[in-house]
Amino acid sequence: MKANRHGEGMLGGFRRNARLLFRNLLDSVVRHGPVDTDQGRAEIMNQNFFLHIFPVSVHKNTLRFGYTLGLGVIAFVLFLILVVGGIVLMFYYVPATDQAYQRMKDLEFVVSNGNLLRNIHRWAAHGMVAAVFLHMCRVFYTGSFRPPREFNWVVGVVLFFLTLLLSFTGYLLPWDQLAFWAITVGTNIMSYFPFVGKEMRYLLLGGNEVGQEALIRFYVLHVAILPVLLLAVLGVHFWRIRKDGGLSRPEEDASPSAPVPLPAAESGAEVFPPDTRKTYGLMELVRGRTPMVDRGPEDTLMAWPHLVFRLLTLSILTLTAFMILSLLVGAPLKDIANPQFPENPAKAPWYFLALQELVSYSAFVGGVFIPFLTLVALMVIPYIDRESTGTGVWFHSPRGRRIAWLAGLSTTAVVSLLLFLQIRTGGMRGLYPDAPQWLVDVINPASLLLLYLIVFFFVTGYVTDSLREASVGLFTGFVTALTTLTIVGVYLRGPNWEFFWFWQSWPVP
Amino acid sequence: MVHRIFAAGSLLLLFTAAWAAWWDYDREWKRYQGRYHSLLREKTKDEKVRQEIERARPEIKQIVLRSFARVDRCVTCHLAYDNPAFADEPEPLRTHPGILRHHPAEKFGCTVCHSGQGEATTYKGAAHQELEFWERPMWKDEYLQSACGKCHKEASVPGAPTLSAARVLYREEFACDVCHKIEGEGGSDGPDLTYVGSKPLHAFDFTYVKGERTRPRWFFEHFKDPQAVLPFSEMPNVDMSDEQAQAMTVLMLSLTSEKVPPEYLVRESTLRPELAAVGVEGHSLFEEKRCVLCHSLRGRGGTLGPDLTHVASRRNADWLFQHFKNPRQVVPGSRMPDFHLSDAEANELTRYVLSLQ
Repeated sequence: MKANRHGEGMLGGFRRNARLLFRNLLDSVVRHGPVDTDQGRAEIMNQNFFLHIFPVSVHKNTLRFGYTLGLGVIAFVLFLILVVGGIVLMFYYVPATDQAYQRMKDLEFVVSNGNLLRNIHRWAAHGMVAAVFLHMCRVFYTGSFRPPREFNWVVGVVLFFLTLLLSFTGYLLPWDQLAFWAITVGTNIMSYFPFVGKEMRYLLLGGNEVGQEALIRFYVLHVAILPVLLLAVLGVHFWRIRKDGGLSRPEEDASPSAPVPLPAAESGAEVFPPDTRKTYGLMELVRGRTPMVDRGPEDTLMAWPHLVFRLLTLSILTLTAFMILSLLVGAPLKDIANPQFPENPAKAPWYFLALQELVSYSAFVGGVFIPFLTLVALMVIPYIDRESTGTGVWFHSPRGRRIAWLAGLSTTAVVSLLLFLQIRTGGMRGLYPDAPQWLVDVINPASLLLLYLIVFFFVTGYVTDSLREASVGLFTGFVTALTTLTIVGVYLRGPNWEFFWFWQSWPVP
Repeated sequence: MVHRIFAAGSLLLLFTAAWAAWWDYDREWKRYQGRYHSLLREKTKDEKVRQEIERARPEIKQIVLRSFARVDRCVTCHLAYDNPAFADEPEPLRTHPGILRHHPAEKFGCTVCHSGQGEATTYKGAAHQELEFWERPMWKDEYLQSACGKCHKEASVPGAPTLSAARVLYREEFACDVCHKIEGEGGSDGPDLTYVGSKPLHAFDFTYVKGERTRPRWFFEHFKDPQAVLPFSEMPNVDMSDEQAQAMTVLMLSLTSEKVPPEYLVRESTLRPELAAVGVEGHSLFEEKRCVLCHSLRGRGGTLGPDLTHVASRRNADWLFQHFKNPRQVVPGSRMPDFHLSDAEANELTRYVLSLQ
């Protein structure tokens, strides 16, 4: 009988391995060493499949909640909730016009936790649209779209549109009046797009109106095509964050810094003293300036536990918040879809209501010109503004912050005034019933608002001589107008798209 | 700081998960099922039933109606609907009145007659009262007769005097069909009424309707004084009494777009009179062959075969004749025995059965 390397016989080896089975199993799964050294902490990040997309150490600014507000992470956590919950919902859902609505009722009344599943899917979907949008605002206001991150901004804009499309396609699936007429209105807005609008609508609906063909198309887009597409683009987005040098941060003095005292909020966290015995090797190639360039590594913290712990905390808080919301507030479900009796008012999903409001002034300006201009502007921002001063600082500078305030307040006033005039006079058509269509398209609240924003942009640009500060103003004006018009569309528009205050009840139909 | 948030968040998540589990577990219908079982334990002496009660676990009960593509879960709470011992208990545990004999629950479910939301398992959700976003709330009292009209298309519906009266009023007293169409018959000056009972609530103009916003209310007010509800209506005010207006309301509510499978429809007989005459010899054959052992006639008889009370409204002479000659050739798998009738006998029996309208 041969002895093994421990000098044991066959039986002895068996006993030994049986005794160590659990330990060996654990060691084979968790391969890193003890975590009381930086090497151990680095190994965790490097060797774990799920953690290896994060760097081993991150700059302290990355962990500052006030800098990122955790919006990207929240959006991703919501996406995970949507994927997991959505897959469970797929077990119950049938994309057929004569069954879909009944399946909603089954979820409500008999499926285990069906209510929670449906509610959290609905609220997380709305939450994801909001989180992605706010994340985009954060990236804009901190100048994080500037080189070398300019393409990742474009990828982000694509992700925002995929998120909108995912939410929009999911909106139809319950097959109630809300869904049916929201999609009817939404796709009608789409058809105003020049040249291809009508064809796009036909392709999406599989016909000229919402029906069984539209339902199956929306379903396949919602559960297969768009999520996979979003996941792929999301992979690129995350990859780019690493390769473009991590999250953006303010410029610092060129001198290698001494150990940095953590911000007050961080005082409980462990700070690692500079280690003179460490040697550094080339770990990966990234463009731009990494934390290592020109200075010691001491502005950085190990990702394990600092980053990972924060991610976990934020994930738990997001999940909890949306669970509580779903337990308290039910997802809306109206009567079964009835093509013969339109909802009045028929409203698109809330994130398209600003657009619907603009379309109500002028289909061309609101449905084509402004969306197209916005899309182009969003895509080219990082190629126009290529400076690096002020990157990583909210609103670029104290003056930028003041300009943002000015833009926000003045745009609110302008939108209110335009809305007031439109309602009072009935717009161009109300003043001159015989006015030609081109005049209505040129002079209406939508185009006047656009004109105001452009004038504001050039005036601030002229006064401050700063492209960045002028664009902070323009972006703020745009976001303010979008928010105001969305609020008007959601809460202040009633039957026949007439204006009603919060406290006014709609006329009895 | 982060540690504290993490700890608080984790605790909150645990609490929320427990809340969600309780929320899902604590269902209204479980209480009714518990009460049913304890009442049943008091009422029964049968040891087997008692054992069944001990073994009973809370469960959703439902009647699946494939031909109506619907599922009625009313019996999840109304467990005693077919148990005669519960005739004096309060709802939801009261025995259903005797009409179930002609309208067995397996065939008609609950909402085919009562309306309401059959998928629901809560009192509110079932639309016992008007429910937002559910277009078919339960109709009560005489309005319940509107349900009969979905299948019973004959002029006089047994057990539904209000509906029957309304049909006479519609055609003879007020001649509504001069202006209005139902299923293609009638004039076109007024709105088509074929599906008027399924018109969504928000499609009604309640501006001038006093009282609650329900369909019965709207119809009633409109019949009493059309111009008071719709100022520009061209409908003549025919001075209806309250009873007449109520009857007409029942008729309107019966005109729904719900799809009724053809085998449920009961129509006026369109048979030639000589065939419809009662075949005396056929009747004696019917007695002789003991047909009532398996088939029932007006509530009397067996249940192995189909109820023959209105069989003539479903089957024609040819079908019946062939079927009597060789049941399994016409209905494969039929359990009806071949009685080896002669052609003459089969003819007589056919004549008799055709009289069962």
